[in-house]
Amino acid sequence: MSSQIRSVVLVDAVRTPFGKAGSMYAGTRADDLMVRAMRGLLERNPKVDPASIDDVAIAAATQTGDQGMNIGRSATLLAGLPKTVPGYSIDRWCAGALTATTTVAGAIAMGAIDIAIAGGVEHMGNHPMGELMDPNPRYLAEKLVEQDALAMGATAERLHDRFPHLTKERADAYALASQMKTAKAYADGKIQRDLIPTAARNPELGWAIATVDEAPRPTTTMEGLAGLKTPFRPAGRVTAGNSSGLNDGATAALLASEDKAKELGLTIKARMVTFAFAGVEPEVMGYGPVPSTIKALGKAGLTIEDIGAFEVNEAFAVQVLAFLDHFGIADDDPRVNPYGGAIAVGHPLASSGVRLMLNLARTFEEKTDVRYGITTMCIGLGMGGTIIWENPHFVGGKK
Amino acid sequence: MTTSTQLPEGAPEEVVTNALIRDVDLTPFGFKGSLALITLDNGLDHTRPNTFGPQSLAALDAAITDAASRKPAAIAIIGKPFIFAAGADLSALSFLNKREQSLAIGKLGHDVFRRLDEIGIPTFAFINGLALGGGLEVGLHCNYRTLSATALTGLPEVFLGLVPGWGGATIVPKLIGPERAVQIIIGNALNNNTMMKSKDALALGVVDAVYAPADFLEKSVAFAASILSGATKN
Repeated sequence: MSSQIRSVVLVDAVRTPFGKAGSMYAGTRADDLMVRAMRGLLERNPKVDPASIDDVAIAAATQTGDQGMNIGRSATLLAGLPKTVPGYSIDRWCAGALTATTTVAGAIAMGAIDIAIAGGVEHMGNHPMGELMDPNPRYLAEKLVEQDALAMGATAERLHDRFPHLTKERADAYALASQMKTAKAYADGKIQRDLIPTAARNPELGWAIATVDEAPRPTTTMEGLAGLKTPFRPAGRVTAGNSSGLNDGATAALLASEDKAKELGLTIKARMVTFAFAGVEPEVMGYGPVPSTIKALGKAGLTIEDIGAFEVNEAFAVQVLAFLDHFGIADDDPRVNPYGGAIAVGHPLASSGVRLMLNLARTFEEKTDVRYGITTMCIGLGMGGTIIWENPHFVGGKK
Repeated sequence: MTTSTQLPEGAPEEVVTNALIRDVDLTPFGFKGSLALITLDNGLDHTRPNTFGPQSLAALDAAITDAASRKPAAIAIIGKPFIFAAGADLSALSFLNKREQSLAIGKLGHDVFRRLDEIGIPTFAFINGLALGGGLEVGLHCNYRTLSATALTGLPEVFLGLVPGWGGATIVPKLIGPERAVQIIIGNALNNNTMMKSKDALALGVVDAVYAPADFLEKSVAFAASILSGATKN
C-alpha cells in the first residue's frame, strides 16, 4: 500500500427530487429512495463496474425502521449491487452525506479503497425530527447546553439575538432570493439535470413519478414572508418562509482516487482539496460553518478570497447570513448558492451534503475561471462542516 | 356500460379493486407529453391480490374514460406493490345459477378490457407483480407490456376447469402463435399449474420488456416514452 496521500475526486452526484415530508413520498420507503439515487448514479456512470465499488457510506439522521438495519449495507443490497460490495452507515445529523463523503475520501486518500459511493437519505415524513431522541437529563440539569440547543428553530432565533444587524428583513430577503434563484434554475433546466426520476406511491392516490422538487414556492413575496408566524418565539424572526422545510429525499455521489478515475475514463467534476469540521455552542449551531471554513481554509493554505463558488446549506436564512457576514460577503453575492438552496428545494437532513456538491460541480462546469469552491453546512448540537473543492475545469483568469 | 354489475344472489360482497389515476410527465424521459397512469389497488396488502368483480371492472371502465379525457400521449396500468392482478373474482362464481349471469361476467370483462385496444391512444401494461388469468388478460388487451423480473404470470384457468375467457384464449395465439399459446394456456396449466417466469414470458413474446423490480416503474415509463418518441421500434 502506498504511504502517500492520493488525490480524491468527485466523479458524479445525483439526487431524487425532494418532497415535502410525508407528501409525494408518503407511501414510499426511505430505503427505496436511497436505492433509486444509487441506481440512478450507477446508470449515469456505466464505466464503473458495480463490483469494483469498494465501499458504500450512507447517512441518515434517524437510523431506525426504513432508515435502519445499517442503511448503507441494506441499500447496497436493495440496489442490486453485487453482494461482495460492503456498506456502512453514517450519522452527523444534517451533515451526514457531507461526512459520508469526507469519510470515504479519507479512505481513498490513504489508499485503502479506490471507488466509493457516499450519500444520504432522510424521510422526515416517516421519521419526524427528534423521533426516538432521548437526551440525557444531564444536558439541562448541569446546563451542558441551553434549552434552545435541541430545537433548531430556537437556535436560529439565538443567532438573530447574537447578531442583531442580521434582521428578519434581511433573512426574508435572502429567503426570497433563494426561491427566485431556484425558480430561474428550474426554468433554465439546470436543477433537473441531476434529478433521478423516482417512483412515488401514495396508497390513496396510486403510483406516480416524482420528477421535480415539491417544496419550491416561486410565487413567494416579501409581503407574504413578512406575514408568516414565528413559531419558535413570540414576535421572533424565524419563520417557515426563511427556513428550510421538513422534507423527504436521497442523494448519492461517486468518489474515486484521481488515478482510478483517469484510468477508467470517468468524469471528474471536482477535486477535493481538504475538509474540516468544528464545534460551536450548541444553542447557536447555525454559526458552525464559520469555524469549520476557517479551519479548512487554514489546512488548505487558502483564504476566503480564493473561494469563487459557495454552496452553503440553507437550514435557516440567518445562519447563511451569519456566515456571509463573518467573511464580509454580501447577502446577494452571486457566488453564493446560484441555484438557490434548501430554503427553496428543501433539506432532507442527512442527504443535503451531496446536494451541495452536485450544485457546486455544475457551477464549476459553467465557470472555468473559478478555481476553488466550498460546500458547507451547519449541524445540530453545534457544529459546522466544510469541504474545499478545486475546479478541474479551471483554465485560469480569476481565482 | 350495458351489462349488469349485480352479483348473483348469495355471493359474498366484492372486494373492490380501485382504479386510481395520476398523470406522469414524460418530459424527463425524452418525450413531450404525459402518461395517464392507472393504479389497480384494492387497498389491502399483497396477501389479498387485486381481483376483478363487477364493481372492480366498472371502476376500471371509469378510469379508462377518465384517463382518455386527460388527452394523454399514452395510458398505462400498474398494480399495487408485488401484485398486478390475480384475475376474476372467483368468489361469486359458485353462486351463478343462470346462463345469463355467466354470459354477463364474460361480456363485462370484454366490454371493459377491449377499450384498452380500441381507445386510439397507445396503452401499456406495467406488470409489476403477479398477473394471473384476468390479471394477465388486462395486459394482453394493452398495446405493450413490461414485466418485473421477479413477477410470475400465467393463465391458470384450464387448471380450474375454466377457459381464459377475457381474451387470453384469443389474443395469446395471435400474439405469439398457436403452438406457444397452447403451451401457456393448456400445457402450463395442466403441468401443476406452472406459472411463467419473466424470462419465459419475454422469450415467448408475451411481454415486450423485462426490468428489475427496484426501478420497474421508472424503467417502464422510460420504455413507454421511447415507444412514443420512436426511439424504440416495435
